[in-house]
Amino acid sequence: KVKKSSDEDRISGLSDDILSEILSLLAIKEAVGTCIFSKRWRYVWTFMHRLEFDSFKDFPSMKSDSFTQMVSQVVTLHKGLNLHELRILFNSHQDNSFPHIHRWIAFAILCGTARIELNLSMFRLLSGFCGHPKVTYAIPPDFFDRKNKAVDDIDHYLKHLDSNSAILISRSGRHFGVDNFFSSVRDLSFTQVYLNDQDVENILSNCTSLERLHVETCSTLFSIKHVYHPLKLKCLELFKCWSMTTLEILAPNLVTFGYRGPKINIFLKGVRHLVDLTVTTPLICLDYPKGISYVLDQFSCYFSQLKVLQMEVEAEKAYRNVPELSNLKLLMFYGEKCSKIENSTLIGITSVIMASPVLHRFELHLFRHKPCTGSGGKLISKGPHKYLKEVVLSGFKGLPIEIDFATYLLDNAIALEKMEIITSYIYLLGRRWCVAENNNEVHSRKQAQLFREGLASNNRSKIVVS
Amino acid sequence: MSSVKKVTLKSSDGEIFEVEETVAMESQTIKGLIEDDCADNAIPLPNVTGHILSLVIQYCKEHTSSSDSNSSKSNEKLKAWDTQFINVDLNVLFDLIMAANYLNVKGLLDLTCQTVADMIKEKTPEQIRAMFNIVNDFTPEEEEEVRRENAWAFEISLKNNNVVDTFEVEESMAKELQTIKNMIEDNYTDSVIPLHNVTSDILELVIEDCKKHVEAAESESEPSYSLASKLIDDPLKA
Repeated sequence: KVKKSSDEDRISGLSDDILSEILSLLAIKEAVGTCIFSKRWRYVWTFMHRLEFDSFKDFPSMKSDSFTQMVSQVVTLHKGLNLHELRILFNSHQDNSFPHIHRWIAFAILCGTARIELNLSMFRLLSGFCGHPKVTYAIPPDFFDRKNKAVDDIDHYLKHLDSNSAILISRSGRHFGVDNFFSSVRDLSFTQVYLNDQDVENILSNCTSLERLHVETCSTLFSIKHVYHPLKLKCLELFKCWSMTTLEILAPNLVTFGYRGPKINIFLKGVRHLVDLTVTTPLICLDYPKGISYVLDQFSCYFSQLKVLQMEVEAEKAYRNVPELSNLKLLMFYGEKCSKIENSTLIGITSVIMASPVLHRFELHLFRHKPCTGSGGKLISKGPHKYLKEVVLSGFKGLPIEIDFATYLLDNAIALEKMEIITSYIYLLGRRWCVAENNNEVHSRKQAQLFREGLASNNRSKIVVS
Repeated sequence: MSSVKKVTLKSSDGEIFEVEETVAMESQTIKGLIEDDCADNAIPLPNVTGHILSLVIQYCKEHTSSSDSNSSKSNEKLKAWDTQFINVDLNVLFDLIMAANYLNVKGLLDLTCQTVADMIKEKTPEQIRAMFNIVNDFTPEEEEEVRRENAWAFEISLKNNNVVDTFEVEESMAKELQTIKNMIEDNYTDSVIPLHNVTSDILELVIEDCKKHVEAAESESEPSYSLASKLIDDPLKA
């Protein structure tokens, strides 16, 4: 596709606004690299409204010192106007990078950035364990504190910036200030960053437009209590905060909640709109919860309003009665923690399915499971399911237990239209799913086809193998 | 009996277009004019030629009808239509960007900007200058200064496959050490993890090998398949 225009340079004639829009769609390295095109282009990138530094994806071989220098350089040169998003993902925990990190956040605060993500985690996907942090970065205590400060008192942020940025900010006509940030920030995400209870309280009190809060791997967080003023929060994700004991919030706008951690006192007050729940449990047993009964204990009071339920839990031998999930449309079960799928697992899963009368779609994602002896009771039909239309079974290997389960669903889900059998592995990362390769894909696919061939024609047409 | 409300648009070169109101309202600019009751006569659009305006109207028509009938047109079909639609001459593309910006048609602006971004991706500055006829007006000293200012942006990145290989090794290792992997992943680091089923010498061996493996990954050396296979052969009981 060769696009040849006349000899005119039309792209340079576009406004800074439009050009920075285009650059925001590029990786940061390419975007900044446009500075070399011509004089007109030299500072176009400094108007970008999105800055993303993903050390794993974009700078895998960069040493952490160089990475820190790079981000700080960009922060110094960027005009700080219209910055909507700042995402930094990197894994250095040497304390010489901490003053830099303070700077980056101070910069984002002063620009009134709507979405800030700081991910200092040492893990990326299934691989990439980069070493244990010796020190973990902690947010400076005054960053979200507002108590009696005057509106224009931005000194405590300016002290973190270098003189260049500070001058830039004080000279630009724009009203930078604490107020901008606190009312502009919509989305905060901190992973492997130390926040304490007071920090979170400050965030919830002062960031009045906050719609999403994600806190992951923070062992300094013990309790979140915010019940006197309703939060605008729509999405709350708390993962791996192992020291937590209490979560009490008044969040009438909460729609999505994701949780992975110890069993705690949870009071989500007034969450009439909570429809999307994701629960994952750790494998280490001890006193930490696992299994569907944990989900029942902690969250069954919300069951009747849920529309989407994602669970990555260990399966257990016995279940109590599952309260009705009268609105559940989508149920996803990730079996990453179940290395052995037994009949009892599937009995448990089917009891959740049967407790969801309007369930439209069910997904079962098995993960590198091993064949087992198949004990623990048989799948007994509890009556037909009148609504279930779509089923997805991933990680399929053709084991007898999977065949039994698929057959059970085909027999009992009388409205079933489509059953998709996927041979790759799908696993849950946070609240999103990712795909991993199945080394025995050819064999699995063959098994799936065999299964399909062996069915009656009306059932056969419902199956799709991919 | 409802008559479909129409608005009249007049391009810079005098062409007249009669468009359904709902379609015209895909343009936030026109929507504003309609809502302010300024749209009784033909709306003049001095910044858009007839040719471009007809394309914009085409886009709006396609995208209004899809949002109407509850996405009966699947997302894939719409995407395919967009790809076809945007396959135009570079000059037309820039005209569309400016029109989409002026008329405030977000979807079209996103589509056109993404198209230009895709053209820039993974090309050298020389290639990009050639493609868009950008003239390099830096003096050699200036160019040197710019390169120095943002040196990191001009480093050649090595796309190595070590990352992929490391992934594969870790996967097979992780499979065997599922328990420990999960413990580590959960950052369960604050207390002692009792491993009832593993004797201390086996545990030492496992930890030793894990350390070696991690160090190997850190120093970006060749993936150590031998380490992994040695580990798998260990009689792990955890």
